[in-house]
Amino acid sequence: MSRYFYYLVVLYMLANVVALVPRILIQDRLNGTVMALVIAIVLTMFYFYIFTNSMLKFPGKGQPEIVLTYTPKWFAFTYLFFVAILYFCSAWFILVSFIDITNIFINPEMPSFLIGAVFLALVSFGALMKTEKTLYALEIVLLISLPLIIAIFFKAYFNQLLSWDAIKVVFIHSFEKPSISTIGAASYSMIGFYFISIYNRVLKPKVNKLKLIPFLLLGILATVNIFTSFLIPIGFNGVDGSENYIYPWFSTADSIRMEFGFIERVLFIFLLLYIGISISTATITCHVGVETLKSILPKKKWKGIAMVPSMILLVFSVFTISSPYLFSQVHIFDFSKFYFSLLLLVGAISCSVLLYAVRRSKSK
Amino acid sequence: MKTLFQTCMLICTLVVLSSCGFKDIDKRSFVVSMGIDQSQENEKNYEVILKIAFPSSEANEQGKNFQLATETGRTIAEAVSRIKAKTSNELDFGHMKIIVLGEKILERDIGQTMDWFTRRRDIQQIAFIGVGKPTAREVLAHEPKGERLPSNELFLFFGETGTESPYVTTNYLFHFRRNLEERGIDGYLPIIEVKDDIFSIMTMCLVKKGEKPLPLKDDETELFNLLNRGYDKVSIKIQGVKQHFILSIDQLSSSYQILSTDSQKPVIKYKVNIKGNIEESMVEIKEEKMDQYNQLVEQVVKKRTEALFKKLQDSHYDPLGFGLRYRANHSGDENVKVKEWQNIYDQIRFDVNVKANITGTGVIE
Repeated sequence: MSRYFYYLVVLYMLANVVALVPRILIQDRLNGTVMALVIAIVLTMFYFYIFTNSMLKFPGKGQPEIVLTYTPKWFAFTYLFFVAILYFCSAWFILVSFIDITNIFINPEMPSFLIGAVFLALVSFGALMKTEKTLYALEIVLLISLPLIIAIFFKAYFNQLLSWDAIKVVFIHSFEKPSISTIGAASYSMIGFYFISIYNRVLKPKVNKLKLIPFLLLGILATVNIFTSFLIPIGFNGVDGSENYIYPWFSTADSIRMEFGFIERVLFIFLLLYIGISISTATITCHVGVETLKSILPKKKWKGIAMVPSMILLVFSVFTISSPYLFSQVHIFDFSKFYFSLLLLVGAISCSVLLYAVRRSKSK
Repeated sequence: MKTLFQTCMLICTLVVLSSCGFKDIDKRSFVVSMGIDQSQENEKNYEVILKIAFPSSEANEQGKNFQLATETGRTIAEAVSRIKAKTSNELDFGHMKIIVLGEKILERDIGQTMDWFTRRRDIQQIAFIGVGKPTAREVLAHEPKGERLPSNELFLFFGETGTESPYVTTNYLFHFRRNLEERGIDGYLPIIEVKDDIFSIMTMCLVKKGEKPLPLKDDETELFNLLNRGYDKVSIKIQGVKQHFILSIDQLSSSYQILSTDSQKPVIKYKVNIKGNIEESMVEIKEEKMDQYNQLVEQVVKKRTEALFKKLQDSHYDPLGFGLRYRANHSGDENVKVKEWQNIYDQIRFDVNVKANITGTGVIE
């Protein structure tokens, strides 16, 4: 498997910290979240295996082409439209949260529409790039930020003030009935593999099946990652005290002290790294969304330039920039819970659609 | 067409530049430490003291280069906004590393006082926090000799880059808040005093929501820090009938277990391992009597530890987090467990088991 595929999966593992996932998990920390995480990992790895392997049966083809060829037209249109909207939602969550985080922690004097405009200009231009080029950009961002983020994670685990007793209290409540939105939120950290639906066009892997060992390693990585993003804020802010934070991870990063680091407050390094991660996640997600939506929309051209992708991104940008004014934080939070729960169902549908396509392609 | 488009985009980016919200560094006042006292006129009001440093290009001795801004208000935010009207520059809390609470403030609802600090986005969670005795103002107004930067001396005390002493209790804002919120563990704060023109941080007090703070004596503070942090650069006094020597500890580790079955009285089995050598002796030390010395250390430390635990238990304080450990090892509803623990803690027995290992008698025999 090409290394770029792993970048995509790892990217979402990091991005979940921004997209309200830790907050949902922490809210339910005494109601079987550990169980929810385990269920989410098993379920998503199952989807992962089926989806990726089915996509690999069609080398050089994206999901839109496959679905349009092998399923009835009405179904293909609704399905692709729906999936594209979901991709945009995912990018929307990350952008809205990060605009808010920028407003809180970096520059409170700047109006949020301006922050949004700057971010979305970057994201839109990124998303309009060629598919390969987005991957190169992603590689650079990850190579710079990943080692530092891992260093911060380690720094957190070996911190003397991390309360392991508080973490143990959470584990005591492992075997309780978890809620669907918690499972959904946990699965969100592993949905990077869905991007193969577009990136399959350029990845051109030499194998047509995912090997077992890398797959299992990714599973372990996902487990470590989701437990880290759930447990570290609890260890730092306490099992009772962690409830009230809106962005638990950023408050946690502020509690880590690196005396002889670049600067003493880890928060600023963390923010800097996560600007890169959030922007590239939003870019990649928007790119996949645009490519999916483009396939079912008429190809209008104006003086030789395809206008549809720019139009889609313009609508998305205007919507995102205005959303801090349209929705309150509570609305966004409730909607994210619904969205994460929906992901579980969509995973099942996507896998069945692709399995059907594989069967049709064989019988032909 | 393309050039026109690119030019337009370039002009559009200018919009971003024009309304940058940052204020220049010379238009900012950097608050380095903050004190909160009870107002003298009205008991309900806060008196907020900000120590504002004046940055200058000269590198030597700027410790006296500061201003104390004071205001009172019903809430902390109110007082701070009044101070804003008194300073010409924008107040910047980004460098505030010390929070000093006046002694009298602790007697009020501590949760209310701490709210401002956790809610504000620009207060660093790794700021050190302590108690000023008798007032926070006295601690902030003190100008130690030869201080490089305003408040730098206190940073060195708590930051462990300077002195390392078992009497100095370090606590961070986030950690203090966590202990206040968490059921099953209580907060603690160092007490900062100014004695004979120098800082003295020898004691600490325990803090709990809705209860009076409990001050600890200096030897109790030392022992608490030893047990709580595994502090290992410490000398402790060992006094027996015939022997009297000072043990310098190289290594100290402690662990404990809570045993609570229905049939017997609940007990905390506390194990302490000490490794060290003799630093100073009042009477002659004999190499062959090492076993006796070990036993003596074990007895003395056991007695002191049990006395400290007893004191904590009698005053219903639990800064070491026995309650949290109980919650971590028992299943059930959290509220029920917390109630259960309160009953258990009142009647629990402490079984302290010390293992000492004196490795040497110093450079001489």
